[in-house]
Amino acid sequence: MFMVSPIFRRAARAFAIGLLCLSVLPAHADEAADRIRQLEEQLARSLRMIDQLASRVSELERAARPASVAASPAPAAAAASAPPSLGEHAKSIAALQESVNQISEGLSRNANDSGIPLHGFVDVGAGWSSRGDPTRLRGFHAGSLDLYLTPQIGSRVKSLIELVVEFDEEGGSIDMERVQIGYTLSDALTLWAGRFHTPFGLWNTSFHHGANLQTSISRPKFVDFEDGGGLIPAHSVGVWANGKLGLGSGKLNYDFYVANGPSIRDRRLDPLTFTDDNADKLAGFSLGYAPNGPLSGLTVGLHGFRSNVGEYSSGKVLRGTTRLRAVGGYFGYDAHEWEAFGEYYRFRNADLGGGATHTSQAGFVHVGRTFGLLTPFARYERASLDPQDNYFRSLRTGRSYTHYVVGARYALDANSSLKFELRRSREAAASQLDELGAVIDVDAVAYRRAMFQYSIAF
Amino acid sequence: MKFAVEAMLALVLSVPLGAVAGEVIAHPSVRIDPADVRDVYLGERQLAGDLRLMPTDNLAAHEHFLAAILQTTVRSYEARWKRKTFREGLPPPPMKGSDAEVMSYVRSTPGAIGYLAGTAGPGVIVLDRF
Repeated sequence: MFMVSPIFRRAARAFAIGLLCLSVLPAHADEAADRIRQLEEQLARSLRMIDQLASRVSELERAARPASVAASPAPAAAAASAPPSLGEHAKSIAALQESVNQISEGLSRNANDSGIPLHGFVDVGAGWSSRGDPTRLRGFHAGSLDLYLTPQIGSRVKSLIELVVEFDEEGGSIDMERVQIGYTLSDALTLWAGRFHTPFGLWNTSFHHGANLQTSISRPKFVDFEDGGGLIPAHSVGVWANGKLGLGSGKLNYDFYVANGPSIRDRRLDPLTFTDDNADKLAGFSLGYAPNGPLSGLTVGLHGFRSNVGEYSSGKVLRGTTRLRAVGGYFGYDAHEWEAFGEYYRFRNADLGGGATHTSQAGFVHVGRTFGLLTPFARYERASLDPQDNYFRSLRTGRSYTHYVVGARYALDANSSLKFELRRSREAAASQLDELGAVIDVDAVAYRRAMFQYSIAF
Repeated sequence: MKFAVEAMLALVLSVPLGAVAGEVIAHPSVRIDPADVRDVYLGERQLAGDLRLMPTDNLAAHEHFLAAILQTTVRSYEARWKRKTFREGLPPPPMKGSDAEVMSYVRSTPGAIGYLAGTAGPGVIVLDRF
């Protein structure tokens, strides 16, 4: 027979706290706060379970006592004074175990019925740049709020919805950056439809809009988002097949996609989210290989895409079309405290009005190394763009450039970080086309930027 | 009395007390090789035939499991899942607080996979030990 008393509860709590202390000792220093919080939650759950179990035991005692007394008062009194047998112990433990199972199942059901989690990223920062910077920075900025949902329906349907509120030199904006619904046919093939991040290279599909995900503050310029001055279509609206296949000791990752061909309006790329402006479509692929074993963490691959891109003047006047074609390669390494990314693109663009073909190229290499909470990094970017290529001439940022970037990220904890970044840039002189299609000469510039960022994930 | 209290506490409070042997368990409906457990926990394998695999983490053996089976750390594991969720819309395995919770979840959920700091009870199959 169990006696439930305040002493029992105090002893149980003391034992639980002792166990908690023992379990906390080996925790890694930089994970201690999270681990303590999780253990505190576990302790609270456990104490609730103890209270429920104690109540349950009391109920069992109350239920059992009258029956025993009614059946035979004298033997019952004798039994109460006698020590319990092994069989009674076993029955009591079995009853307790059943109670624990029921409570645990209840907890599991509650956890599973908690609805669709809302995740997100927030960043704030500051920046200063020297004269000559086309986007002069002179102070603080509010950064962005990135919210995303990942509802899953059944065993094969999944989706991803990403909404970003951000500020740039033209003011604030709210953009539905990604709306994609997928169907998993097998582990080797998932089909997606909607608006997604174009799967070229690694950067665009590894870091997306969440500032806290990437080590640096800025993205490499030519793979930046369309509204950030990117030179290739970072977003696409269409269908996308991707998956992984075993190959040798590693895995072959593949992506194939067909989407609305982008256009250039107001001197920047528009992924045409509502509908396409012509029958031609953006089509592309990415093939990557990730070996296992000693080279685990490495990915190498090839990528390419093509599309007819209409260049529009103000008033939606189509003034020309370029057949954009790009092929290249990439690599990534993320293991043993190192992170490295490199992407290369070779463009061979054809002016469909004049017939001329222009060759350009762009690439970057980024390397970082984590030392405890600190990750210093360096990045080199270079784009050599044909100044007669109407595709690049029509983009505000479409001129040759070189960027040298160094910085560091300090992880305050698993979900927040402070970053610092210095950049030295040179941009070549160019003859570009303005919003009306008129030629404007842009002088070469050299400038420097210093940026700070405080970012969190939740 | 003392024996019963200890038994009850052992059931309820399954917290790590050092490097102990653990077990990877699954619902009897799950048919995968032990070598596939790593891919399941990294989100690389989501299906076994038509059955959706539903892995769950266990706070009581999390670090030990990650080190022994996935050869990774808690920080790397969480960072990897954050990127994967943001890319593929696939949520990370939910975290359970104890062996009892994991046992209960795996036993009652077709496709479920979990791991224990201790040994498995009835109603589940053992896929691997670590």
